[in-house]
Amino acid sequence: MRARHFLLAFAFTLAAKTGFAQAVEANVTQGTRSPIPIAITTLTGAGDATANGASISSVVAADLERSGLFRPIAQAAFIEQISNGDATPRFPDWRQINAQAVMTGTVTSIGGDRVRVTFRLWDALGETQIAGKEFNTYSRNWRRIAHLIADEIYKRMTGELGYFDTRIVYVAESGIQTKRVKRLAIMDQDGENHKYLTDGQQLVLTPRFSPNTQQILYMSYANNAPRVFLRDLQTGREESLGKFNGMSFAPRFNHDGSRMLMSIAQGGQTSIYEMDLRSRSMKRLTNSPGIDTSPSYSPDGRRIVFNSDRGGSQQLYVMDSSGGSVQRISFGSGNYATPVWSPRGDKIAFTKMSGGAFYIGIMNPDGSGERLLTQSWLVEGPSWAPNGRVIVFNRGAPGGSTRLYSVDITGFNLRELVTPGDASDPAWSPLLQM
Amino acid sequence: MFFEQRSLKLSAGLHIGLLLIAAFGLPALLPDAPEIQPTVITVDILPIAERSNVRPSDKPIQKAQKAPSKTPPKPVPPKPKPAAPKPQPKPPEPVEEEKPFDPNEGAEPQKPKPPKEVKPKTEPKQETDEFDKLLNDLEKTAEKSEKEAKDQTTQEENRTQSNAPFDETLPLALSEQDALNSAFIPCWSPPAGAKDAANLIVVVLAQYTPDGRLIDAKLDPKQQGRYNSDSFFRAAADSALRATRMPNCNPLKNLPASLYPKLKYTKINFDPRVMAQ
Repeated sequence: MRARHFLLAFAFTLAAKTGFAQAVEANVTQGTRSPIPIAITTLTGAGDATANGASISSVVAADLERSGLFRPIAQAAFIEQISNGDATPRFPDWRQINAQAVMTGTVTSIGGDRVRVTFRLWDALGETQIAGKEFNTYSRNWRRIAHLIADEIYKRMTGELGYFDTRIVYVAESGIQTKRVKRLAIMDQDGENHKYLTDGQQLVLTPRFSPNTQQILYMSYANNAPRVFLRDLQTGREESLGKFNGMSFAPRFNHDGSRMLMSIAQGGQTSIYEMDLRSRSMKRLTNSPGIDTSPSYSPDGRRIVFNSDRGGSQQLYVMDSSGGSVQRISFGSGNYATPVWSPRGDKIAFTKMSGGAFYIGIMNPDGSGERLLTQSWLVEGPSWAPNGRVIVFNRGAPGGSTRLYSVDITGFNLRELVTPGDASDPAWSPLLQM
Repeated sequence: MFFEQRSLKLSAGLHIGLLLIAAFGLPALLPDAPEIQPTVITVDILPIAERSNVRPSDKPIQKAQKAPSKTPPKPVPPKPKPAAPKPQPKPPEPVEEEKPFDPNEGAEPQKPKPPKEVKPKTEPKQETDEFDKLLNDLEKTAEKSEKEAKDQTTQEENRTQSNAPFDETLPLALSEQDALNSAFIPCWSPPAGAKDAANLIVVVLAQYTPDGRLIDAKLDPKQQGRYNSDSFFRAAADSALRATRMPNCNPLKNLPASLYPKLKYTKINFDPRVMAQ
């Protein structure tokens, strides 16, 4: 009997192979750029007062919708009401409302202020489960769990790393233009859990996240002397790394936090230096007349992009991490500034000034494929989300207000990040550690 | 007894009569339902021919965002395209807030405009009448857009559903191949913005019944290894497989009758290179 089944299966496979050898061929080269319709169901189970199914599901849906790549279907349209988050859904009901994917799950209180959260992601058309995970954590971490679930769904459906379990640090601005108060502030990428980190007594600039996400580096001016501060986000402890006269931007870390790049003005020229954080030794990387500034490492640490006016106008250059093989990569008119290498390694974001307008753009590391994503009276200071797909920047208006915006590298999905007041100098953290 | 039977029959008859009056008479007392004016949409049902001959639209179905050249873009707002005076169906405009910013639109020479035809110059008229001036402007716009429409077919970025140049001396038509290629457009979302998107070509092997219903669709076995190891490719492959299963594309509709028997074994190449640009 088994042999007979095997022979039948073999015969069908052979027939199919023979058939496909003479198959009609279709070449599909166009499609639609539309968000993926997805159904995010409420997690079933009791949970507790804070970590409950509805709140977790709503954060997941909001994250996915904000990415611009998903369109969560309104729960009022659901035909099947999920009562058991572990059970297989009735796929025809979900296809009926055009859902391509369905998320179900459970949340259960396991005592001692801890909860167990599970989720399953289903392909409604293929009728199969394609992702799932279980989290055990304290109830107060429910928001992070929701972001982690959104990251898993995002990764499974797009192939990209997620970016929802991250934070953004920025400079919160208030007061009149002539007496501006600038404070360091931090929030989740969706604007929740907002906190001020400094009191506004000193001017603060250009915050950066360290690769381990628990520390931020920023510039502070006291008595007109620029100092670099390192602040531990968990303990709140802050230490000064010293005075760096001639520095106008905070340094940038490399991928493992062992080195950092800075630009220092001395003797009429501004050059790029690298500091080894273990030995504290400094190495000069550029030595040209003019201003070399805003350096940024490639993700593998082997190359550095920076902007320089050595050619007569402010343009972008790439060099080896040793300072050699300097090559210009931007050739447009206008000025290029604040280059930042994508964590994905395939793009460099920059600010461009041309014809009286400002732009945020991206290009390939060899300078090809330049695309301008957004334009305004003032936009500057791009920072990458850890998946190299989304850029946050600040946008100023003629009246003086300045707000944070994000945009996808396709140029779609331009959105304001809601902050309590004016905001500038954003920096996006890596994915938070578990 | 006889009297009771007679009363019964009379009562039954009267009740039946009342019911009939109510059924047929009462609706006549209701006001007439308003006539619903049907929305008239002009469509062209293209016959199948050996060679496609499709009139190009003002915009391609999905305009690929073209990377600007190294010449600097001018910071001008996007120019509206000249509207044809004749009421011809246009492809839907994207929603304004979803439109990606493209400072090159209208500024970069994406469509090298042909040299203007040198027509016998008419004497410049005295535009005494505003209406005459408007008519003249509209005529010039119509001529210009017709001329541009002819030349746009050969431009890469203006390809619509067919790669064949449009010949207005021939009737409109669509080849079997172009009809099949177009069948999956409304269902496929290519991996825009993905890293190295141009190399995410997915091959799906599908089997269909004679009436166009999908029996099975699976990834080409030669790509299975990449599916297991490359998350970007896996997402692209899943998207392609979903496209074959979506209700709009299963069963396959509006294909030439002669094509359906050939679909028993179909190889579908989902190639995002054009849209990834």
